[in-house]
Amino acid sequence: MEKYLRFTKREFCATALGLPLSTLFEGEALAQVSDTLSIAFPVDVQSWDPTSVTFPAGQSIYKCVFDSPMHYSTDQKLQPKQIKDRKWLDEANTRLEITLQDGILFHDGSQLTMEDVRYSWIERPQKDRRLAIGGMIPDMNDIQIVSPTKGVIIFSKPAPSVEYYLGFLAAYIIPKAYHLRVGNEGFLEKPIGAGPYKLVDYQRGSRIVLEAFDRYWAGVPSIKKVTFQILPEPTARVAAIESGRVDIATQLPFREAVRLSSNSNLTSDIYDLSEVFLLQVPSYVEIYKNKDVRAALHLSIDKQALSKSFFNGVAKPLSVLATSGSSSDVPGYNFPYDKARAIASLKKAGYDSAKPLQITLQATNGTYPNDYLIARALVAMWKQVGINATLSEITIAKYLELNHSQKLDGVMLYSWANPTGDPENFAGRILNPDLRFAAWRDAALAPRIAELYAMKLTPQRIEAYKKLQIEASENSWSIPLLQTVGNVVSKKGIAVPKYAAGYILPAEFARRR
Amino acid sequence: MIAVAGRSIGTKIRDFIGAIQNSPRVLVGALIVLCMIVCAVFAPWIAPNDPSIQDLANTLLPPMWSSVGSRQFPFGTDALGRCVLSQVIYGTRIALQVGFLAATGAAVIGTTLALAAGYCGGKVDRAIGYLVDLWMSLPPVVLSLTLMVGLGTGVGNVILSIVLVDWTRFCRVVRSEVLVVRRKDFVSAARLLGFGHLRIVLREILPSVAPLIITLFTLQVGIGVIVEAILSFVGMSVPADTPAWGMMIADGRSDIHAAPWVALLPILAMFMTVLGLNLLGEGLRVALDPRLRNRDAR
Amino acid sequence: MFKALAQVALRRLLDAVPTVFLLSIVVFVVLRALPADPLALLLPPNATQADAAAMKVAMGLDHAVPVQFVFWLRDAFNGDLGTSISFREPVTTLIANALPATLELSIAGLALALLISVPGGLWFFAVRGQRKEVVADLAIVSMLSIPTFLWGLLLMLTFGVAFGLLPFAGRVDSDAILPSGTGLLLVDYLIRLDWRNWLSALSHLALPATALALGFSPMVIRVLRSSLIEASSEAYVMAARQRGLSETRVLIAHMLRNAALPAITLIGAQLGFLFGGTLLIESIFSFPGIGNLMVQAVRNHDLPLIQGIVLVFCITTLLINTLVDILYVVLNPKLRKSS
Repeated sequence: MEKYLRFTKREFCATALGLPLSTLFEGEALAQVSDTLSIAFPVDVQSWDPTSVTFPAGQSIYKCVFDSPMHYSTDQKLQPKQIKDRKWLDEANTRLEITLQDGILFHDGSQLTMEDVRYSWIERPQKDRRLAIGGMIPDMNDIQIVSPTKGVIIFSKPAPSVEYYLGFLAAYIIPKAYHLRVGNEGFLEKPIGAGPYKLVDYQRGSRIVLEAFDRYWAGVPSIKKVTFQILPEPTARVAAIESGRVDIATQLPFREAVRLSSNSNLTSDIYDLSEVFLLQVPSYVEIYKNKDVRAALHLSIDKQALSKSFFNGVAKPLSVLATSGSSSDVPGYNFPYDKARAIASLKKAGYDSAKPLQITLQATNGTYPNDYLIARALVAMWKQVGINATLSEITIAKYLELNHSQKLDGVMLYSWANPTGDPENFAGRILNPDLRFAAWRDAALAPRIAELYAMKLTPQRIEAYKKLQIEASENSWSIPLLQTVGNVVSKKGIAVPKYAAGYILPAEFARRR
Repeated sequence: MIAVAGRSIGTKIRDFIGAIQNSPRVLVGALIVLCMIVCAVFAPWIAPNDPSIQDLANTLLPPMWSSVGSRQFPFGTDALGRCVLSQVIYGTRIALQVGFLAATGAAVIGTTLALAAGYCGGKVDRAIGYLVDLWMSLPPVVLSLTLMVGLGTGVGNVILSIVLVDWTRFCRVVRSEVLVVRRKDFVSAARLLGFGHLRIVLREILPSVAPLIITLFTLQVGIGVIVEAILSFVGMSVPADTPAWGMMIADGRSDIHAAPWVALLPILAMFMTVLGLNLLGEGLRVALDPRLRNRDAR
Repeated sequence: MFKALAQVALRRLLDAVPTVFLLSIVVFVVLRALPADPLALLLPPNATQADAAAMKVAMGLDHAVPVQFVFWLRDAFNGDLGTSISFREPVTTLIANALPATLELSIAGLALALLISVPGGLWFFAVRGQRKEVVADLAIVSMLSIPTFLWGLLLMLTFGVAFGLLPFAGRVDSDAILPSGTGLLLVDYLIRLDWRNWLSALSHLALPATALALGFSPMVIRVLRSSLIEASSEAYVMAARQRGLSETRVLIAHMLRNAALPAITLIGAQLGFLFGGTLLIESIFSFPGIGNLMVQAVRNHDLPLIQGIVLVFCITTLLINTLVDILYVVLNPKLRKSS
């Protein structure tokens, strides 16, 4: 309908300006459904080197261009992708043999081999410790190349759960020969990967134009051209999908997604993400070392109210650092909402109405659904128990920089993404003092977490994580709030598979007539 | 001679007041501004609710005349359940505070430098003129934002950054007027009588340019209100829990479909305030400049 | 005449050099008044003390601020404005990519403003003394009371969202390929005779440029009116009237040309205002120009980027002031005759 309208307007303009009739016919072609797709997306890529950043929001784009070694299906099961098979060669889980698919080609036609895997995961990160992949999969020592499609990853410590991370952040394979030839600057300017789409045009902060790669190993995608329109303002994304200028929009404000579900031209999908809205608490800031202070912060938050007001009750309040229904969820455990106890805790810590607690809260604005609203609601809730919180707006890029270099000066509202569903990537990383992702760095936890890392994937491991999670909540080392709810609004006629990780993967879309 | 000077000023003031009474612009403008000042000063008594209280059970409530509205919230609530009307009323505080204080600062600095430049002439004038030109080589918004990055957020810094940017406007305009007044008879007369420079500047020149300064001041308050709104729209003004119109508008944008009143009321408030100030300033300008008065009376 | 023009241009440009220099110093110092530590944002998480010290030397942060400024200036002369902290790309690249969009938007805004102001000023002048003047006056004051960003919001909400007539995000439709060339889309598409995309670019410019124009026009209308009033009592106009020319003819042929002078001076002086308007307008309309870049840089405290953009704004403003001065000489009969 919208395309037809556009045609008529253009026709009017064309005839008004006396332009040749050929323009009218061009418009005619437009009126039929073309196989291009435009997506209103909230963030731009931080860098075109996917191994250098841990940037959950941009993973959809990386997967388009670079594909991924392994892949989480829509029901959160880890599946093979570029890596066809994997097998532990030893009981101690230090040698993992991986087999690549045959015939994976990069966009320049060259073959993807274990050389490229080794270059991306061993050679580069060992030379440049700033690359995020070194922090994501910390114990990769070397990769023995057995054949162009087979190799053995050697770990310095037992790593039974590492395969979860082969489908996650920073684990991408970039072309060695091309990268060496054009240099890092050249690669960032014109990146190529082995994914279903090649990058044909990039306007920073504005749009990413992709074209289907006709020699993609798993078959050419049916949608030939995809444009990610980068619109950080949520209102712009809402307006874009509502006016029909884009085909898909994601991460809209919750209420808008609900409102658009009654629009007959659009399909609005609102669903739980495998993400936890939580408060990162920096252990290196003096005031948060006091357990009573942390307890007060946690006890005074009414998670039910947050869910009801901002998410129509759809978002599930969480008491542990795990999503509802995931393997390490503890349904019977509930961290209470108790203002009286909060005030008592504050008193114990030496704060009362004469000497109120002063803290800072940092939050993004518009990156996650209702993020800034939740932040302000938290400030008001804390005010009710006598805590004065100063709110400051921050961008994700800045937060990642500050957190990774341990320079946060206050509590940070963050949405922790974990498509693996595994507790190691929840509590195991949120609380690991040796990795860059934790804000709570308690050296005393290090041996315990190391032990959990090394445990084989058994029910005992899950039980141990459950215990850690409960302890984390009791001590408020990190404060879980709600399970994040994501949304995708699309024009009717496009089937968008729903990923708990919030991915938008055009290669998997199908057009319905 | 002194008598001549005195009568000149006295007559001027009488003319001034007469002109004001005849000018609808001034009257309407003054009325609007007075209303806003009353709102700001008596906000705790006028506003129906505390603007910072969030009522999470009652978010995005429509105004009270709608079927689901409530009389407790005459203009409804925003996304956090805060009363829109109360926020707008309290918002006048920040707007007018910033506007008036910044205008005062800009007026003081700008006028002082203008008096020095216009009266002393020569190198002083050239130096100050150069400084003004230098400052005006940057778009004001760009300069304000840069200053806010350097200074940090907060009402005090907003006022400071407006002062640091807008003093040039005062300086330039007042200087031209000072140049004109300097050549007037009563000034030469005062000099002949042997009065010191400082006394001449303060007793003769300053009162003559005072009406112009008042006009500029009024207009500057309006500019200050707008700049504050721009800065809080970008999120670089007051902290998040202080009611400010710019921030209300920025917030109201995301719910513009479901709840347009959240953005519309602060927009209206800002428009009325600036309109009132502009009417007042324009009216004063016409009232005190006899040339303009006669010309416009055709 | 050309000698006068050349003199004006040269003088202006020579004056501009120390201005740019001094302004850069001011901005440099102001930005570093913040107690934030730029080093923190650049070090890897597992950096040692030795790494931190090495990084400090490499960035020149071990020197005093004045020395740092000299380094920055030296690099700037070589076209290197540093690397953006938040985008991790060279500042020059970011600005070069974004500048054409802002230029195009500003020119479109200025053109529209003139289109509105000239007839507006003439009409405002024509109704003086009549009852309609009160209405006109109120209209102008009301327009003056609406800041540019508010015009942007209002236009977006009415024409963009409510009526859905015009687009309000970006420069072109999502499936258009941006051509290489000047960077000014209207020019580039015109050269290629690509009408579909040309129209698309035009329609995307419509709302933001109109917002800029509406914010700018009231001032110009005012000045035009008052200078027309002044011109109407000039001697040469009386003479023309006596020669029997109609009022309209007098108006357009003689008065307008000379009334234009103060208006042009005002436009030149207020161009900073127009430019500043692009900051929020680009942000509201997701227009990828340097205004939008500046807002993002400010939000991220990206010092090198802010520094670079301020420099560019400064240079552009000064260049435009020079052009305005030249235009003034061209149009002013008195100045022309004197050469």
